[in-house]
Amino acid sequence: MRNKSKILFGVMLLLVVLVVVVFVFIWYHRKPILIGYSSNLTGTSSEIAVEGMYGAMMAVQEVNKSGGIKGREIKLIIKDDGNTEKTALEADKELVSQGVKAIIGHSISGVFGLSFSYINSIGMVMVSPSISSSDFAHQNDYFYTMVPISEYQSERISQALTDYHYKKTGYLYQKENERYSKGFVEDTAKYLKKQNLNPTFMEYYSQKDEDSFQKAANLIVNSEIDSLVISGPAYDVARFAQILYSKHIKLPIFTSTWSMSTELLSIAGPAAEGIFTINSYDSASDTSDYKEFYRKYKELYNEEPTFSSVYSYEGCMLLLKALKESAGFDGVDIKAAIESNSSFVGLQGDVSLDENGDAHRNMYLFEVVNGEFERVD
Amino acid sequence: MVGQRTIKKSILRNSLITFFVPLFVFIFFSIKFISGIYVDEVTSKNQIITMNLSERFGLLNEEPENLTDYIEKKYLEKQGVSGDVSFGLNKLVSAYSYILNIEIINSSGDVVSSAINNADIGINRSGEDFFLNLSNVREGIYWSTPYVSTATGSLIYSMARKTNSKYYILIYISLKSLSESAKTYAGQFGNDIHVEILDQSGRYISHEDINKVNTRMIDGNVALYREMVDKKTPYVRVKIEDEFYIANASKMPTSNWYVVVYQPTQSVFGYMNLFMTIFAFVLFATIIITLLFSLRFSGKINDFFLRMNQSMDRAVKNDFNSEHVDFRYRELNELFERFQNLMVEIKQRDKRLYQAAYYDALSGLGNRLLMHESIDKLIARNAEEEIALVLINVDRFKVINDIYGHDIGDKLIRHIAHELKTMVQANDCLAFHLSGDEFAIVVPAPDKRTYIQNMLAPINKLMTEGLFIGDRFLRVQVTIGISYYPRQASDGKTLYQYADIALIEGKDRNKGNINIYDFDMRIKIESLSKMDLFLRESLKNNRFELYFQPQINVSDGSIYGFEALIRLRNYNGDFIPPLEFITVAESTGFIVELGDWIINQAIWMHKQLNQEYHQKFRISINISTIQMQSAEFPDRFFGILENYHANISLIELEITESVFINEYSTAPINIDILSKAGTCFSLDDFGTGYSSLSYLATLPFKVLKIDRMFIADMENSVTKIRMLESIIDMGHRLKLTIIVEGVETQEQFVICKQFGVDIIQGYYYSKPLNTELLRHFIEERLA
Repeated sequence: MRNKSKILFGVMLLLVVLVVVVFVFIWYHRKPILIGYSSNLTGTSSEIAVEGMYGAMMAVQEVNKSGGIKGREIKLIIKDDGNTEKTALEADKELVSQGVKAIIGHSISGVFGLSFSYINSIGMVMVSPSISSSDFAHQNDYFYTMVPISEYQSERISQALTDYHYKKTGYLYQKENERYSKGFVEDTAKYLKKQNLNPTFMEYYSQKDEDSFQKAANLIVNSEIDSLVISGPAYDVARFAQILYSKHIKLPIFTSTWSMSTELLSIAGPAAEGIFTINSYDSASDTSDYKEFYRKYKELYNEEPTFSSVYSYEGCMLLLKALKESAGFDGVDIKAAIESNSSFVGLQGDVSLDENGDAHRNMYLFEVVNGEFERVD
Repeated sequence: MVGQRTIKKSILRNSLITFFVPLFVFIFFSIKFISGIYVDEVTSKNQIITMNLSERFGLLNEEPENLTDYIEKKYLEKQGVSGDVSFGLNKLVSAYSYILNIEIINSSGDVVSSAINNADIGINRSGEDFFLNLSNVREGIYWSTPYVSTATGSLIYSMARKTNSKYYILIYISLKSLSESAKTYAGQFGNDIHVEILDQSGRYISHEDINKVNTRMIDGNVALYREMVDKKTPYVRVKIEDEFYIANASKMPTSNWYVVVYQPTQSVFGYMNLFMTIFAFVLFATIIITLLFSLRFSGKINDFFLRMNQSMDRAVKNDFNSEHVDFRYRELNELFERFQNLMVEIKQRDKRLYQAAYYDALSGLGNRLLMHESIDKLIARNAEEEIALVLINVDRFKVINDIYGHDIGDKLIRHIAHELKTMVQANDCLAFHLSGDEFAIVVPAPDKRTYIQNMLAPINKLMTEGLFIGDRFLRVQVTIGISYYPRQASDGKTLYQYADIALIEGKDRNKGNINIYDFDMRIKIESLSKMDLFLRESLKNNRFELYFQPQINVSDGSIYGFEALIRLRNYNGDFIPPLEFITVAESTGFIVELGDWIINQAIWMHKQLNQEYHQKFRISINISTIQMQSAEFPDRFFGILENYHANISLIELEITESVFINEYSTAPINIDILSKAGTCFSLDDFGTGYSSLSYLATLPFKVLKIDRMFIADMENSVTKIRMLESIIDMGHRLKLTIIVEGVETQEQFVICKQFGVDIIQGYYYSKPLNTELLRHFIEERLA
């Protein structure tokens, strides 16, 4: 009887251990899959990041609603990158330490330098909804961007300037995101130079330096230019437009994708009329996917989506699909899975990523007409 | 057996269930009830906080509204917009810490006055949401969603009012001060109470973690709060950062924002800790107490079954000794006592069964089974040691039984058994009673042949001297057969077989003496067995034949009758001498069966012949001593007669003197019964053996058959002639019919006739004939 009891006890103990092991195994595999979102969520240039965050949140919400990935919930860990390279790097490191499998971010090129090196050094996949600086393009690495690189934007803007026969063009770029903004204006000027059209001026301004802003405004007013190229966020472009509007100066302003948001229209108001911008995103797109996205987004956040929301949503969806298809959840597998899905149908049409992970989309020229972005071509 | 439960575990489990389940249910519902009270209380408290906050922030939002009234009345209605307005607005901004700036905007959307930044004058706001929302109404108020101030980089929200004077008053309000105000207010209620304010979409307007506000995060539970407010449910359970909370939400009337007060579920139920601890203690104590009592109780029950099991185990090992027990429970004591009684009963029954199985009830000695087992045990103990098996048979015991009754027979057996017991005790032997008249003594290690003879001497003496059984004096003779192991037999079974052979041989040849088995006995017995088998098969296969020898009246030469004579041929067709097989049949007892067959056949043929030839021939049938000594013989004989409706007066039964040799023979009784029924007896073979004349005087013989020995060579022996003459004369004087057998010659016939012999039987007239020749003979004689 004693032996029988011992055997029974042993079997029960074994069963308990087995149950615990199975429970731990299940629990471990049921832990949510962590995805990071790192962007400049605070400060004056944060709108684009917040919109991107909402897009990513929506994508995660949809995937979780449909059962997550391999039965596991996706959890989005959101970090404010502080709008500097150093704080952006810290935010990324913090996300990595928390165990994220990949990161959506950042929003602007100006803060991405250190993070770019870091994520490539550790093999962490990062998908940006809006970074387009050429500094991070043309490399087969762990960084993917959903927006066409600035060179293409510059080329398209210079083409427009040429088409409209503007000869005297002034260039302004934001100091804080110099990596992108300066590159954009320089590339634009470079294309025009080929037609012997030299920039009348090329100056920076800083949001943190009101004097530089006023100096730039004075330069616009006094330089007798026939066109102005600004590479800055919507608020900056709106502000320059308001200055010109208040002084009753009518000057065509050409801007990069960065500034194309509803904020530009609301802040600039009537001053926005005649602003040209380049973008692969069309807020008036009539694809059914986009319309559905638009409806849900508006319902959830009570505001209209922007290119950042859309590209962040698309980037996050691509990343989640890659996670689903990757053998493991490490960078190499995720990268391979992304590359096997490099051509996909986005909310507004076809999107393709080249071998370097740089997005290629159709670029359109928009003009603000009656308070709306209207496609010119 | 698999899945069977133990009583101990069952008691433990059932006790636990009996106490634990109701208690658990009680505690469960108590906790649920108490927790319900707590949740209600907490919910009510948090609802009050929520309502207070809602009211408080509503009032906070009312201030800017009141301010716009004031501005409109002071600046816009009376004096219009001028430089003094900016000054006045600036003073107002200074007076309200949470107001960052106030702008006056004309109907075109142009900023016409600013409290803080004159540089903004001329800026057009017609594209902004407040303008778009209010432009189509005569007057109204618009609350913006939070956004980042381009001037400070911090989050703000704005309130715009379209006045009667067509101006828009736009007030920029710090979100930080609102958030801090909410936090300070919530702080009064302790660290467990959390407060947040959300806009319509769930963006944080206020939260203790300012980052959530600054980054315009969305509260994922906003849909639940919205539903709670819409459905007016008292509270909602939400999950925030992997923790569960009980939340109360209300909607601020002016801005449609949500004020949410939430408290960790754990802290809500923290109040329950005391109750839970008490309940847990009660539950634990109950389990322990129940376990202790159950263990004690089940231990006693278990002890009972343990003792029962031990007692049963002992019983299995034939240990039926009872023991004294004192269990706590009367029923168990009674049950144990009854069990013990049952054990005693079983013990006694087993003893009786053993006694019945191994001992003879009459003599008290071990029976045949015990004898065989004892021999086997002795052999198993030492296969080399010699054993002698002595079989003792009481001669003619059946006769004693028949004559004196079974009571005397039983007493005789008990007496012999007693003597044997006394004898074996003295000689370290074993005595057994194998059957009615057969005893056995197993003698281990009999070193000398004389040892057994000496040992048996008292028995022999007792038997030969005679003994009193009750008031009867009996002289009993025993025949003894002995065999030895391993000298003669290789095992117990063979040992018995050989001793039995010696006994049979002794009873046949050497009655009343000791007969030791030897090989010749075996051969003889085997031969006897073969003959017995042959005889039985022959009867079965109708191989026996009945011959008839005519008996002729000397006076007129007519046929008196016939003697039925049995004949048997061997497989070669030659006759086997009747003496040879009759002897075997008598020794094996087959003669009874064969005798019945002869009587049947003879009577049947006798009736056939008499009917066929209309004669009254007589038929004489030889009856064996064995047959005649059987008490059942008369009944069997009468049965046969009845079968054939035979005339008993024409039937003669021939018996010899040997029938009377046995002192206790039942033959005279049978003769008396049969003769009274009309049966005629003839004394056969007279002149051989004892030729006791007393039989002729005392028994009802009608015929005297003089043996052929007197006839053979009679012509040459005067003595034989004189003896014959004397016998015939004596027979006639006794009024007996005289039949002379073996008359073969004319001289013998003449002498017999001269001496007055009545009937002649012999070759002189005819040899024994089969039925066909007999018929010829009869027909010739009758012709």
